[in-house]
Amino acid sequence: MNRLKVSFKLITLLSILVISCDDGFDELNENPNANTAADASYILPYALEEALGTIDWSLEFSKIYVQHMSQLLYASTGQYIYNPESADGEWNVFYSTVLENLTRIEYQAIANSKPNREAVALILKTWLFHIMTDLWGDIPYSEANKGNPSSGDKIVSPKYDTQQSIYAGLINALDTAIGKIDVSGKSFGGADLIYGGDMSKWKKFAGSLKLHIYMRMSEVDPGTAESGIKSVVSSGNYFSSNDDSALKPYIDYPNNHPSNEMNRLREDDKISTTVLDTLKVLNDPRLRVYAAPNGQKSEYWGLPPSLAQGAGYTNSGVSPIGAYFLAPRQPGVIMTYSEVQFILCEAAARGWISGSAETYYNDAIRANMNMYTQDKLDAVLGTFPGDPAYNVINLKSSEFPTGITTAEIDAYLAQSAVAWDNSKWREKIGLQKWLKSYRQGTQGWFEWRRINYPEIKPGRDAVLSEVPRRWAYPLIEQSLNGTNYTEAVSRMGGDDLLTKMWIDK
Amino acid sequence: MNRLKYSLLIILFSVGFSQTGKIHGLVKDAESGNTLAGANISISGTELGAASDVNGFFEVENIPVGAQTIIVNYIGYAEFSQSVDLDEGAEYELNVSLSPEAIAGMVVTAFGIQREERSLGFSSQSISGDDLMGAPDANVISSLNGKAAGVDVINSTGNVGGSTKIVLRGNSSLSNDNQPLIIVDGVYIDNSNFDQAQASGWSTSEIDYGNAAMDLNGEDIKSVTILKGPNAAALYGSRAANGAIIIETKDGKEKGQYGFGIDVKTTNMTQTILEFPEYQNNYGQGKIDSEGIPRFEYGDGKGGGVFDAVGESWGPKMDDGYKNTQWWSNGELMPWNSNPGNTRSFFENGSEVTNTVALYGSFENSNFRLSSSKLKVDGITPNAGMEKLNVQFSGGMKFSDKLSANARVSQITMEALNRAEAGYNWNNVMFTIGQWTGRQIDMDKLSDYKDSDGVMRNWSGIHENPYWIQYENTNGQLRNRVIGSMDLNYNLNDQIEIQAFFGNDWYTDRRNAVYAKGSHRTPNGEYYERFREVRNESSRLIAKGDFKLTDDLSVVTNIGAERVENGIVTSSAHAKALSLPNLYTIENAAIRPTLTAYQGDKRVNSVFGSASFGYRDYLYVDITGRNDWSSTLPKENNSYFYPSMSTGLVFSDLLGSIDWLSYGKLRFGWTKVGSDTDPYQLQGTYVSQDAIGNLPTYSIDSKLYNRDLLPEETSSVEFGLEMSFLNNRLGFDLTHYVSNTRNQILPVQVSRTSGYSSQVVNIGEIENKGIELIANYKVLNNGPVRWDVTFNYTTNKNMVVSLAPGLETYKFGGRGASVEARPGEAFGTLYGTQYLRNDAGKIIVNSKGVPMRNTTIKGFGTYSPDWAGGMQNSFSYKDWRFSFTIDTKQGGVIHSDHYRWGRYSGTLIETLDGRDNTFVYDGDRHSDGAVKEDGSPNDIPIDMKTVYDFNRHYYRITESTIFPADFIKLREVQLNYAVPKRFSDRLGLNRINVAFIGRNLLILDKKVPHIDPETALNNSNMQGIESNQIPPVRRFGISISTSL
Repeated sequence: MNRLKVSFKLITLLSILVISCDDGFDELNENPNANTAADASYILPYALEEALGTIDWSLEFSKIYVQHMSQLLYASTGQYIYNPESADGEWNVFYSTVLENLTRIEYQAIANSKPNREAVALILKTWLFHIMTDLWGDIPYSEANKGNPSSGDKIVSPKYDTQQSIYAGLINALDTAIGKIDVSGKSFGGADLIYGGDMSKWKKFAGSLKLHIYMRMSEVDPGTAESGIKSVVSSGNYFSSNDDSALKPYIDYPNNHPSNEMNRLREDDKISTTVLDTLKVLNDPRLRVYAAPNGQKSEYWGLPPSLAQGAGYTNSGVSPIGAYFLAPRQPGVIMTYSEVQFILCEAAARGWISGSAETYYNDAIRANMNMYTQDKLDAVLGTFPGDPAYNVINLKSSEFPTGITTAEIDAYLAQSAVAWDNSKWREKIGLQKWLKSYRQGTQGWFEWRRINYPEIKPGRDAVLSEVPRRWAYPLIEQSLNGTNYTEAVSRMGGDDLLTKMWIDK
Repeated sequence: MNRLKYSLLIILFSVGFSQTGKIHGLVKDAESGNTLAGANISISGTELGAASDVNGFFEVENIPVGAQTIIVNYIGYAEFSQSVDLDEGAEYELNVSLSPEAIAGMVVTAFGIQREERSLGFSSQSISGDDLMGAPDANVISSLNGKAAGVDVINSTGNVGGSTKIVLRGNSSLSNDNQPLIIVDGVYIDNSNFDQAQASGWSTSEIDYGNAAMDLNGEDIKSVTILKGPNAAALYGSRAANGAIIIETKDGKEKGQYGFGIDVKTTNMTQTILEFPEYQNNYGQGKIDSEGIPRFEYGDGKGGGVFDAVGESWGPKMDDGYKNTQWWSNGELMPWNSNPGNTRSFFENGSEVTNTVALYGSFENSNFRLSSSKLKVDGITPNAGMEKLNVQFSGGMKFSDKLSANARVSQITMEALNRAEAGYNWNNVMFTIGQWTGRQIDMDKLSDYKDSDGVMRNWSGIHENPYWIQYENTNGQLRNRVIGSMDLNYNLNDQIEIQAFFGNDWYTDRRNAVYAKGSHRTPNGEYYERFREVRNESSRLIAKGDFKLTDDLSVVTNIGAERVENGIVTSSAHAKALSLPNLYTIENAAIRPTLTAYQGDKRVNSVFGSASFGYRDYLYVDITGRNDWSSTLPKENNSYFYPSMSTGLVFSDLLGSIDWLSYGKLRFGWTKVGSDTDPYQLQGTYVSQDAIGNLPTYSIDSKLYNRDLLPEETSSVEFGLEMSFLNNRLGFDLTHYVSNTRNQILPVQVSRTSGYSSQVVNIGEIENKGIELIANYKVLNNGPVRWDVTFNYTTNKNMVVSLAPGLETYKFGGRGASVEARPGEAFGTLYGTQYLRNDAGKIIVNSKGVPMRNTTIKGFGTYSPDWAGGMQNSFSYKDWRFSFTIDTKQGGVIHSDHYRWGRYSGTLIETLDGRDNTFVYDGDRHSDGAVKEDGSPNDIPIDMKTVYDFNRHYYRITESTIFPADFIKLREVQLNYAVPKRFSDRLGLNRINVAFIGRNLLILDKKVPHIDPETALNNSNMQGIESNQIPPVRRFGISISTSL
């Protein structure tokens, strides 16, 4: 047995040797590959790219719901057939890619005492949260993005807040952001793809976003909406020209506009008859920008909504999306001056603010059409035909639309079907907002849902009797945040495309 | 010419007229050269025999003339057998050297320590190199299929060198791939499968590069020992928590003779498709429009005609006199004719040629072996192949009675062209021609895949031409690998030996993938380059002691220290657009390429000790202990100790002599094994993302890291019973085990609303419970014909006992079906949507007669089989040996993506229902009769107009695509012929063996249509998913080996 004792002694000796002779052991697990910190100016562009990429690609369905677009080949979205797995992507990108990166920027800015950067992150978070609550209704807001313990309490299963409380929170957040902005101070410089670091424009954007959020409440909480809009208008802090609009520039592949990327291989979505026929009836000069003539007859033909399997329509028979909206360099729209003018128009029409509703209305339409003047089209389409791989329908520059002229706009506004009529303010604003928001993210659908004009009915092969008013929660939440999910669903009265959220009651 | 040196056979002629012959000779120990007394010499099929005397001499007389097999047995040595052609009155001299390093009765355990099998308290199974390589597979891991109990091998498909997954005794870990540790001559071998195909869909690059252990050369392998479960591997530490496969390679001593020798072997195999989907040949490309009319006209292949942007086959009827514009007809109307066999005709017969030469020498104080083996594979897809060159040298030297050294080095070059892409992917040829090519398409017309300007010619403006994929969108791989080791042994005295060992497995792996300009998916071209360097260094010092404590009690001890270091360096470059066509370099990138680089280092320091007590050679007790310090764990938790205990009782010796019982042993073992994790799991970092123009961007890592990780822990209990009867004619080895893994380190999914996708935590418990049975029966062992049967049977229940509190599921991934681990359910259960059923379980159809979907997800069972078994039959008669292996897996399910999308796209034979005539859906294989929503039996006929909807709905119901994965296969057939000595002598050769061999020859039974249920997509835990893998192949051919 002595030998065993010797063995144990030997093991002890070896243990001491093994441990004491390994100097670099503790440092070995320090990650040499990446930083544990990255300056926010590298994170911001990524967050923005992901946010708009998702809105202008994954949320394409909203353009189909509101009948800007119709589907020719794979038509289930237009028929309102919903696949519960399909919402996972947007939800995931919004929360864990965009919002968490913006949250990290916020914390970094607080730690480094950079209030302007903090304000930019907060404004963008609020903009996105607003889109998200309008998509889904009740969502995690006050407890969201608290998984990282450095955010304070670590919460991995946040509760869903009511949409009403989220709206109040959004306004609060924008007020906080405005309060932090020092218009003469530095922020992100060139990493700020929207305003190039101009904080006075961020301040105006925050004010405009407040107008936008207040107006969204017009049908459920008109009191708050009215007083809110009044206070913003009296502050004068909102967009005052097209130059103030929040647009995100795109360049060529792989930083091309999502609409270009999505359509470069196969053009699944066509312009809907609902919008195309309206443009025709109104002699709207935007027709030639929104759509291109069809391949066979060189005419503008739309595709009726909600058709299964094309129903005899062919690709060459219906109009493609206009070249501008297929081009890689078209800007991504976050919020425009035109939108603000429509809000002011409606506020005036409702008697909430002074000023001429008609002037605001005409300015709003003019501002939108001025986004498609010859020089604006040239800037976007100049490089387009040179790259056949990204010009899927092989449009030649001779087929590109000409810009919209002032004379055309004047003539358009003079038509009785267009001209302002205070007694029909709801119809007028509804129709024109719907026309202006063609391929501008989700806002066309959201505004139509609020104002309920123009009249949009499901097409022939739709499986629902009404146009969807909501996007369903992602399936994955049932597994990963089940209790809070279930509570939200029972509070809202369902998790369907037709479930009505608070602002839609 | 070297006959004398081998001293196997000397032919002497004698004068006389007897009807019999005579043999005499000496029996020696091949290592020491000492003569062996008491060896048993017998003449197969006769009663004749003898024993060697004290001088090792033997003599057998009166042996009938003709071919005879001489068999020599001695305890602790390998059986020797030699065929002798006996002439009348002749006397042969047969000097026999028996090798003590024989597998029979001896087992290689941890650190190459040879132990008597009877002394082990745990189960292990050995396979000799000859058995393994009788009918070899290009991937040596595949060759283990069907040869051992408790070993689950999931074969690759017809892809050149594709993934083969091996799991011993079920899956224990949620996070790693559950594959056993592979050790070659003491070196830990990397068997990773990095950047493996995930079937995620739509990704540009989903290439199955296979597992790295395929580099090993089967021809160099002397023996494979499988130590199942953690009991056996206790001494290897945490990296062997999933068991160990210990491979010993051949050396110069192996022949047991002094002198030089050369072995030559050539194997030539043909590959043909084993299983191929059955497609319909009645309807061509197009869709059924809303009026119910199938339509198609070719315009530009991307929507310019009528439904010409679809790859579906719901178009007009073929061979019906109908004429149409087609992709090759330049706008003219041409007959709409079928091309039966069109998809299959894309594939070719593959071939596999292996040539091996080994030179060896054995001398009194030294030995060496030098071998070279070249494998050349031509795949079943055009322009795909692989070449592998293995060169191995091993040598040993005895410097003195006390000091000896051995060294081995093996150099491997593996080069592959066009490994197949997998999954729902545009560059997977099986995706494009199997699911999404119109059934009228003629492959011959496609094979002229580009015009004189280099522009792709294709039936579609969206899909890639499959020949374009093979010839233009190519990929390549080059792996250079060196596996080397050396050991220095010093005998302190008779009892204690000290060994110092150093080993390294080092390789670089370069890959590129080309997506040519002008491909539809990548109009501007894309180019990938990936580089990876892997280093697996181990060094250890072991003191081995062998003591006799008393007359009855002996003890063997091993005490050692070990350091293992794993290093990985990777870098990759991805050009998303190219400037010049046909130039595939990173410099040719038209825009800033995406670059990545990673370096990961991990070190584990260990001390260990073991003591094996033997009492009177029938009771054995082993105790082991090991402590690891891992660099990957938090400092305060980075040290962990784990013990094991096992015991074996040879009760047959205890009971004394019993006629019918030849051998009986009981085993019991208990082990606890700790485990660490990957490097850098403690703190998050920012991740570099694609630049926006020239603006670099970063993002947070969506994984939440954890500074409080604990080591993982696996504990296991094992009972075994071995018995053999009737002079070892009938025997079995039965093992029951239970193994539990706790505190797994795992990134678990969290709600994205937290801002993160996952957090790294210690969670859960996985349990494996199972039975393994090996039985063998020498049906005929006395006559001229010998017949051996071996059965193996395994059943394993792999359960997820718990996950983290509040965590309902852990998803491994999936395509079409989700592969998950849920508490209380089997590991790797396939989940998805189901049919809508009434209370009686009948499927409810809607007003069109189409089955309805219930979106509540349901589990359909695990991909792991309930049980698996194999039966090997081996017959020998004189110079002939014939053997075949049948194996089976029963239970377990598989999702078939090919079935799912083939229903959708109208290509599969099943989609003919309702096109020519109507049919009433009756529940198919899912229920006995379908009902309408009012509960009455379904009587709604489905016609041409709704057949499309029917198949569309069908595909969305996961349950419809889940099939039992059961199969029975004729796995292996071998017919060996040892050319009689008198012929080989004339050629100046020592020995000639000719073998006709076949593997994966037939699927005797299966339940899933169109595909082989045995199909590994990768080496991860996401199995049970068929996602358009290249079809599986059968392999057959001839192998000739000879020695000079």
